[in-house]
Amino acid sequence: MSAIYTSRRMTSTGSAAWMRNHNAVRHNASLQIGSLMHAFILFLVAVAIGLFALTQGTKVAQYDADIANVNSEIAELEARRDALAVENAKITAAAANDSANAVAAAMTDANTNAEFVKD
Amino acid sequence: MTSREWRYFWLKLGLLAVACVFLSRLFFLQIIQHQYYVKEANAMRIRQYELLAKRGQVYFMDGEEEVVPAIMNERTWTIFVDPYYIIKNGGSNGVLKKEEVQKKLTEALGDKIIAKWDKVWENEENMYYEIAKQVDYNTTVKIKEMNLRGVGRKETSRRVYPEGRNGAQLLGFINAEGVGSGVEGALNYRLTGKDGMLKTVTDVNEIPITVGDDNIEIPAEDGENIVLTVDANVQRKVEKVLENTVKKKNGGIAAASAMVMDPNTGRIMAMANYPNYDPEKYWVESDPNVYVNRVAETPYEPASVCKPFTYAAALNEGKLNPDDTYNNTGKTVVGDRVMNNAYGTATRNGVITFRKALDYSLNTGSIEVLRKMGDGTNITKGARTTLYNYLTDNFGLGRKTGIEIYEAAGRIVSPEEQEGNAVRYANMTFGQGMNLTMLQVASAFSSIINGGLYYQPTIIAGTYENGKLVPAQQQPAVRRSVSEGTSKEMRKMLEEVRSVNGGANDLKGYRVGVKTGTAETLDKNGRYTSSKTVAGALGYGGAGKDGAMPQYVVMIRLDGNILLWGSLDAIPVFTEISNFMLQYLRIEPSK
Repeated sequence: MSAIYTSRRMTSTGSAAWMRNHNAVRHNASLQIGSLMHAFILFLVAVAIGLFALTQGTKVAQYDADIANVNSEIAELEARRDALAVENAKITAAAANDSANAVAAAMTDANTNAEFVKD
Repeated sequence: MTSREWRYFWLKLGLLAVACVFLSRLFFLQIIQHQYYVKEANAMRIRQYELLAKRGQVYFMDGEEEVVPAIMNERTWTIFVDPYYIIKNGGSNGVLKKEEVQKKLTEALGDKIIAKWDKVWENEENMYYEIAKQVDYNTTVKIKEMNLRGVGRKETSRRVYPEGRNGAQLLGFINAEGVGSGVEGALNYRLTGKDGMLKTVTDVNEIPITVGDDNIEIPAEDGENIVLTVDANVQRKVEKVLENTVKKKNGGIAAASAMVMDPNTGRIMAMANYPNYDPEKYWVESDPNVYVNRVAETPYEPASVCKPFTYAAALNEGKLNPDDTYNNTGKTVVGDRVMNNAYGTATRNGVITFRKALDYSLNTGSIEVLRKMGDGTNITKGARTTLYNYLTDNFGLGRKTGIEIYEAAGRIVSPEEQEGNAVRYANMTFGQGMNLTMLQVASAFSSIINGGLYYQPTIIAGTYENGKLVPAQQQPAVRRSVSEGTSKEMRKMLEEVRSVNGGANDLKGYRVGVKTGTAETLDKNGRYTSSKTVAGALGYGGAGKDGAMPQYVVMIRLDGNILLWGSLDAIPVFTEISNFMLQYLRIEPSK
């Protein structure tokens, strides 16, 4: 329900009566709430904001948990990669050594056909 | 006021009083004791982690541009148990009984277990007991998959040497106290990184939370990955040749060493010693001498391989014409001593050129050269001073070369000292009476056959970053040791020496120069004896017909338990390595 409301400004005379504030109607709620209800509503707002903040914070923590899990998987894969790199290097070196041995065995003894000097 | 209003008044007053109590308490807790509770909270939620820096890896060259790992880091794990937890919860909540845990771990770890099980379970209050150390990745994964509650793992690291024993003394090791040998010890300051730190707020599971002002992250700085100038293929070859040589001699050789270097840059291409050891298990060796890189760390009297230095000094001073002659009687008197040529050279007695005297390594020839550096008849102080200056200042002998690994200085007695008399200097002309390292001798020799430029020997080719070799800047020659003319004449003379010292076994068409040496050693009474000798060979190869300088210098040292000859025992070793180098470096024949 609305009621005609005459502001003091409208009742005044002169040019000041027609300045920019044109509030001419004031709302009168049919339902009035008391101070306890006010406090309760404020409490609800605070709880809502709190829950929102909490969910956002939890979300960050969840992201961090996900990051930690991914980091753990990366570390596991890196460990596996390193283990394979070491194995690969050992096998490659062993193969190269075998090859060097084969070449050495194929070479004739150089200690032949020479005039030696006693020094 | 009405009674109802009074009641409201007292109710409000009561509530206000209660509110004041709460506010006061809050004020006390949040304002007065703020710092205390912040500290308490931080202690619970902030964790500080050490971010471990990785130790730099070491690489060998593999050809001109590729590298292969010589020392790597391998992740290993320490496996531990929580006896308190297992004993308390064993058989319930998915926790196995201690006997089952013990059985499963024993099956998985086998002989890697270092703990005695009865000791592990002895103290039921104990919450940490290490079961095995340096457990490899595959075994650790196996244990992880068992999902044993009360069993944990802690990451560690160890150094592995893919090349096995190859280059053991050169690469060396480092112990827990940071004391080491070889590259690991000498370049520890470059290989060691700087640990970082992560200070972060964590959740109840101790997972770091990325938001917040209290997080501090200082990243770890890993150590440098160092690439050595040593070529893995040359190193393998030299190691194998030394091993075969020692084994063939059936105990006649106590130790053998060899090195190969590029005379035009000072880069070391191989540095090997035999017997060697397994650097991954260095602690099992009972004789610490096996750790020593004899090439750089053990001075000795190299004997006749040093004669070229005497000749080069005299040539450079204009005091020697190689085609001049002298009367070789097989011996010569210096002071109160009679100095002889080596046994078996009597057939060379008579008038002989200095060129031939070098060919046949006559001691009388090199002593005569020293006389020519003086007044022509005596070993004057002037002659000794000239030779000393050449040996030390020009050739860098008897002092550290400046290489990046551990090395000994050796010693050359100055003519200013009482011991620096004519007898000592006569001995020094053929490499006795002075203590030098192989590294010094090979570096000096390089300078007299490469055109006369002395390069500081180096072992570092660069660093390995992001999968690529970042070459170190090539250092210019340190100084000129002899003139180009002297160097050219020395190459000519040394190639003639080679022609009578196993030259027939060189690959056809190549120019190879060499000088052998057989050093007597001191017996228990401090007297020189030839019952145990050190045989040596020092030479080069790959000189081009268009004046290109030799491409490699090879030096051999065989420490005998018996009489060894440079020309009999060390020359075959030189030949095998030299022929390998000619092929490996793809050098074109020059004659």
